[in-house]
This record gives sequence, structure tokens and C-alpha cells, in this order.
Amino acid sequence: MTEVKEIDWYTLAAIGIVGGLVAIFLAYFLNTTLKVSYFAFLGAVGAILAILWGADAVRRICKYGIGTGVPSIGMLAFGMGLLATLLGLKIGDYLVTQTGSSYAIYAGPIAALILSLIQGAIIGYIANAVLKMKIPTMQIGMIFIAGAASIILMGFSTTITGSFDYSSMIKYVFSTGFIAPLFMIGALPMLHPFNASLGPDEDQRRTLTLAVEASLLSTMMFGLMSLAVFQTSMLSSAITVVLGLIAWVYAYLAYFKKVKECGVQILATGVLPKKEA
Amino acid sequence: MDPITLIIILLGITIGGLLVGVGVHFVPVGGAPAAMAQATGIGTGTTMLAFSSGALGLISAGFTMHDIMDGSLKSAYPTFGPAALDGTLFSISGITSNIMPILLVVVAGVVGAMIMMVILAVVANILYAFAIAVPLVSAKVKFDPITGDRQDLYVTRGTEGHGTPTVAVISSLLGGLFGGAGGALLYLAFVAGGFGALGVAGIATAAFLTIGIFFVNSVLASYNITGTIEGFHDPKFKRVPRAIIACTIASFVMGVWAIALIYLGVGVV
Amino acid sequence: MVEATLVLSLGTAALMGACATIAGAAEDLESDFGSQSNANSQVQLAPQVGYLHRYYNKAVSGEPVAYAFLCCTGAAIALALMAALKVNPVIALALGALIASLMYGVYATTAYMGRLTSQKRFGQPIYLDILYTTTPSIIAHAFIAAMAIGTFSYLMNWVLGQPFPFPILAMLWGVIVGGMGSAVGDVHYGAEREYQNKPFGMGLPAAQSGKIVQKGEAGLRNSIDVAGYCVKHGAPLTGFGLGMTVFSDSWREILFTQYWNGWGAMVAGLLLVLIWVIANRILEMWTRKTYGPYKTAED
Repeated sequence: MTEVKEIDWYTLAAIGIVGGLVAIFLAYFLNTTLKVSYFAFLGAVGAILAILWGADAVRRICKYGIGTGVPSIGMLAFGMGLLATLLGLKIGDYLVTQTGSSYAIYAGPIAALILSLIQGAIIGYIANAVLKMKIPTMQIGMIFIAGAASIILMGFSTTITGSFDYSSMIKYVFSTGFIAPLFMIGALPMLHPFNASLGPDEDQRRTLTLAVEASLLSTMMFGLMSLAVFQTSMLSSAITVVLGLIAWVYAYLAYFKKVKECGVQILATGVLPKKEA
Repeated sequence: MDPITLIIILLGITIGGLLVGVGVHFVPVGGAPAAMAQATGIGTGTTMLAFSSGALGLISAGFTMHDIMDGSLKSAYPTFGPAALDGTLFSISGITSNIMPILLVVVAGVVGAMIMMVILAVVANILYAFAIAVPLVSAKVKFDPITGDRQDLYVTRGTEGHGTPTVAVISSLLGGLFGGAGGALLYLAFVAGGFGALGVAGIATAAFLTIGIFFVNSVLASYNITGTIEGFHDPKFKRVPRAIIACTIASFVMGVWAIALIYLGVGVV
Repeated sequence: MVEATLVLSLGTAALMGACATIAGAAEDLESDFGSQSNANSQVQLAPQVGYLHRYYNKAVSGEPVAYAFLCCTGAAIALALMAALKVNPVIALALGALIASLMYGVYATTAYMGRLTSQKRFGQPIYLDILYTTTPSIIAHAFIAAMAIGTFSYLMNWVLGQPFPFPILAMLWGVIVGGMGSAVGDVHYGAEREYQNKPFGMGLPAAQSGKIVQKGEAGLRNSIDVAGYCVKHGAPLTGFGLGMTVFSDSWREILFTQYWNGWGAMVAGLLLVLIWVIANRILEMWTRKTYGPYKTAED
């Protein structure tokens, strides 16, 4: 049987960083220049690219058996990413007030990403050197999941509020309590694919298809939550939810096709198969 | 905000995170085997068990702080609210004049966490006693360090113990103590850093940033434990020094980000 | 928020305790339908040791995290509906819980298919009828749990005056209910129902791991049979644990904060902990006396 070549994780990192940031910037740019909020769904596109990056990094760390289960890694990544992201976005807002130029806001997500990568590097070093976990992929893996968490937070936050600046995040995401689902169903698409596909016959393409499917579910939920923010222009929320729903149906059927392609026996019903003695 | 206050907030965050990390080591975690009555302890994963007790501690501390700032305790501690609003709560003068309410919030966190831990352990023991019909014993020690009961005769052959004996329950209360105190201290540090002045948005942000740092320390501690631990009588408990170093460094770095954020000003434009 | 009198607060705390009890029981039953979390490690192991099965291998990240995301999503959507469309809170909580539990059901199906596909070399097949018949039960019980937790989180914020926004409270209580179900209810499933053919009154020796019951009372064992058994002991006890937690924490805060400038509530809490520890000691001595040792001392 020919071995399917896996996508290299640096390629996925590039897609996640560049694609994620471009999508978030585009959403903000279109929303502010056209003075609408219909392009909030582009934030979700950026988050999905970052989720692909993060889910693959989780895969590579956890294949070595870290002993405490996969969900903890997702929570660790988001715990690391949250404070660094908030600081980065505040730097963006601060630069706008200091320089007076509204283009300084775009420095915010870049600062958030860099701070998260630094945070991930420090935690990865602690895990390998101080806690002696000795997992080869841990150092780079931690950097990647922290960076992915940062872009996921910013991307989905743009889906809810239409922009990524610090004030929107505090006013619309934290004060309503939406930060709780942002954290949880932002982390789930990153950790669920590998956890759900755990086993000796795990396959990267199938795992990443599941990551896309799970992130589209989250997109629909965030679209519904954005109703509280876009109370005067509910069309924006409707766009996010409808596009998410159509894409989700497609992704779920693609996942089911991959399951069938893997050759597992699918029975409509029946008794247990007879084992060879 | 003057530099001394910022340093004190940084210390608060570091010590809070460290307490959380240390507390996780006291909690008797049986993990998946405990759910099959194969191991001593509570049958949940390390990270999430510590977080469950920290969660109730945080809810309790939030309740008490709200009572002190705008509720029934406002007249008893009049200086706390204004100090939190103008950011002087963690200055030297702020701490000395508000030491009682600060202590009250920390103890509220401790009590909340301890209630959660004891109910988790004891209700699980009720199930072990009546549904599985096994004695509550540990296989790691021959005699219970606190009650002196003989353990090894009451352990099913082939298992590592079942249920949560008294030494593990006491150990879990210590875990709740450290975890609840750490969580409440983190929450106080963020509120003192200026989030207290932002109303509901500030309280929510302070609470969730606490949850974030709690998660980081809890997961690092569970990586140190690698699986299950029965409490302070378990040989794995000797690994605590590694966790102290790891959690201190991690919490310190996150504290640096936090005071950078506080320095730039947490208010919305 | 409402300015609460003592009577209103106590009544709300009682209602919250009742909601929490229902939520705890529904949570444990749902995790039994799906064989989630701890006991699932045995279901995962079984094909590798040659024991094929018809259980629902739902590996969605462990109960605390799963219930955290279920409850906070339900609460957040309810908040959005209340704020934007001015929907009545009760209906909003129900709709939010419904949407969140549908999402939860989709995660359950992908987990079942994913885990079994990654084990295909052991010959474990995917049974579509298990998927079709069990998933609706999972969604239903998840709905009960999400709505109950959303309701008492909302009451905690709105009447009792807890300052955190109620989606954050729902997330924290979701973690707590998941921890309670995992610690209490899952043991009934894992130690008793999964290994029902082993003798009663002992733990599970390590050599027996993975050799789960394959045949049921009539036909093959499905996960639906598991819930019918655990509802008699494990699920109500889980509900009792969560109800006690919610009620004790609210009760001591409402009644005793007025004494000693707030320290009364702390003393009350510590006394409560002491009572539970003493009760545990009495229980421990009772089990040792009633069940006796497995072997006599050599000396």
C-alpha cells in the first residue's frame, strides 16, 4: 500500500499565520471602509486556517503519548494565548492613540501573534527541560499551538464583533461573557480531531477534514452569538450562519466519505463479527 | 500606577499561579482506573479535577468580593471599593488598610474549593461503599498515616486500591486550600490592576484571565504528575520541586504580560 | 439584577439546587449513553484484546470539558437571543440549550466514527443502527443538562447577585458537573455495568482490563441498556452531589454573610467541610467492619 505523504507542519504554519492574518485584516478593512459589518465571516475563515495549523501541531505532540490526554493541551494553548493576545491587541490600540494613525491598529494582531509565540516557546522549554517530558516535537509544537490559539481567538472574536481591536473585545466579548464559548468552542476544533481519531490507524487528511467540520460548527454558533452585537444589522449574523451551515454540510459529508474510504467495516446492524480463533 | 504597585501585582500573580500548581499535587487523582475501582482516588483527570475545585473557589470569591464592593458588606469594609476603583488596592498603603477584606476574599476562595473537593470525594465514596461494595483503601501505604488503619488486607488483589481513604480526603482538602487561595489571589491581583474600575466587563475579564492562568498552571502540574497521584503520601509527591520551578517561571512570564497590559491602561477608549 | 430579600434568595437557592440535581442526573445518564470519559478507556481497549462490542465509543474530550462547552454555548446563545430579539428568558434558555445540544450530538457522531475507523485493524465495525438510535438519546439528555445548568447560572447571576456574566458561570458549573459525573456516576458504569459478569464486592484486577461484557440481558449489550441500569443508582447520586454543592455554597453565602462582617459565611463553610469529613470517616469504618478484609493478616 502506498504511503500518503503527510502535509509538512511548517507548510500548515505558513498557511495558518499568513492566511489567518490576511483574512482577519481583510474583514476589518472591508468592514471599516465600507462602514458595514457583513464581512465578519472572513474572521471565521482566518480562524479555520489557524485551526488546521493547530490541530496538526496537537497531532504531532500527542502522538508520543503525553500521559494526560489530549484536551489538556487545548486548554493550555488557549490559557497561554489569551493573556498574550489581549496584550498584543492593547498595544495596537495604544499605538493608534500615540501615533494618531488609524493604520497602527493592524500592528495589534501581529504583536499578539509574536507574544503568543514567545509564550509558547517558554512553556515548551519548561515542559521539556524542567518537567523532563523529553518529547521531541514538544518545543516547536508548543510554539505552534500558542500561535494558533492567538489567531483563533482573534478570528472568532472578529466573527462576533466585526473588528479585532481591544475595545470591541472588552465591550462585546468579555462583558457579555462570550469569552467563555470563544475559549471552549475555539479550543474544541483544535483538540477534538486528534482525540476523536486516536488509534493506530489515524490518518492526517481525515483528522484535518474533521478539524474543518468542527470549526464550521463553531462558526455557526459564533454567528448566532453575534446577534447580540449586530442588533441593528442582523443580516451580518445571518450571512455568517448561512454560509457556515452550507459549508458544514459539505464538510461533514466529506468526513463521512473519508471514513468510508479508510476501509473500516460499516454495517447497518448485526451481531458481532466472528473472530478467527 | 506606581512601580511598587505593579511589582506587588506581579508578585501576586506569580504566587497565585504557584499555589495553584502546588495544590494540584495534593489532590487524589485516580484517573480512568479509579472509575473501574482499580486505583485509589477520585475518578477524573488531574487537570480538570483541580479546575473543578478552583472553579467553585472562584465563584465563591467573586460572590464575596461583590458583597464587599457593592453589597451587604459595603459598610463593613468601606475602603476596599474605592481602592479597587482607583487602582491603589495593591499599593503598600492599600494592602495595609484593606488587609481584612483581602483575607476574606482569599478565605472565600479556599472555602469554596474545599467544599467542592470534599463533596466530590465523599459522594464518590458513598457510591464505592454501596454500589461497588468495596472498602476505601490505598495500596501505596501499609498503614494510613492519619488514622493508622491497616490498608493492604482490604485491597482487592490485582488492583491499586479503591475509593478515597481518610488520608486522601485530608490531602484533597489541602489541595483545595492551595488551589482556592491561588485562584482568589489571581482574581484579586487582576481586579486591583484596574479591571475593578470597568464594571461588569472588568470583572468578567479579571475572572477569565484568572481561569486562563489557572489552566496553564494546572496543566503544567499534571504534566509533572504524568497520570495519577494519591496525595501527599504518594511517592510521586517528591516531584513537587520541579513543579514549583515550572509554575513559578510560567506564572512570572504571564504576570509580566499582565503588568504590561495594566501599565498601558486597561480602560477602553 | 434584582434586589433580593432573604426569602427570595433562599427560595432561589432551593430552586437552583433542584435544577442542579436534575442536571447532574441527566449529565451522568448522557455520559453513560455515550460511554464517555473514564469508563470509555475500557471500551477503547476492548477490541485490542479481542472483545468486539456494540457500545457507543464517544470520545469527546472528557466530561468536564465537554459539559463546559455545552453549557456555555447554550447560555451564550440564550443571552444573544434575549439581547437581540428580546425573547423571553425561559424560551431563550430552551432554544440556546437546544442548539448547543444539537452541536454536541454532531461532535458525538464524529467521535464514534473517528475512533472506530482508527481501530479498523482490530476488526471492530461501525454499526449505523447504534449511531441512529443512541445519538438522539444523547442529544436529549444533553439538552436537559444544558437547560438546567443555564437556568441556575442565570438565576445565580440575576437574583443572588454573583457578578460574573452567566455564560462564564455556565462554563464553570459545566466543568463542575462534568467532574461530579466523572467522579461519581462513571464509577457505577465502569466498575459495575461494564463488568457485570465479575463477582460483586471487589475492584477490577488489572488483568481483566478490556474484557467487557458483550452480551446483554437479551441479545447483545448496547449503550442504551447501560443507562437503564445506571439511572437506578449512579445518576441520582451524581445529581445529589451537584445539588448539595450548589445549595450549600449558595445557602451559606445568603444566610451567614451578615454575621461577623462576612466571616460567618466562612466559618459556616468550614463547619460544613468538617461534617462531611467526619461522615466520611464513619462510612470508612462501616465498610471495613461490614465487608471485612480480603485476606487475613500473616502475622
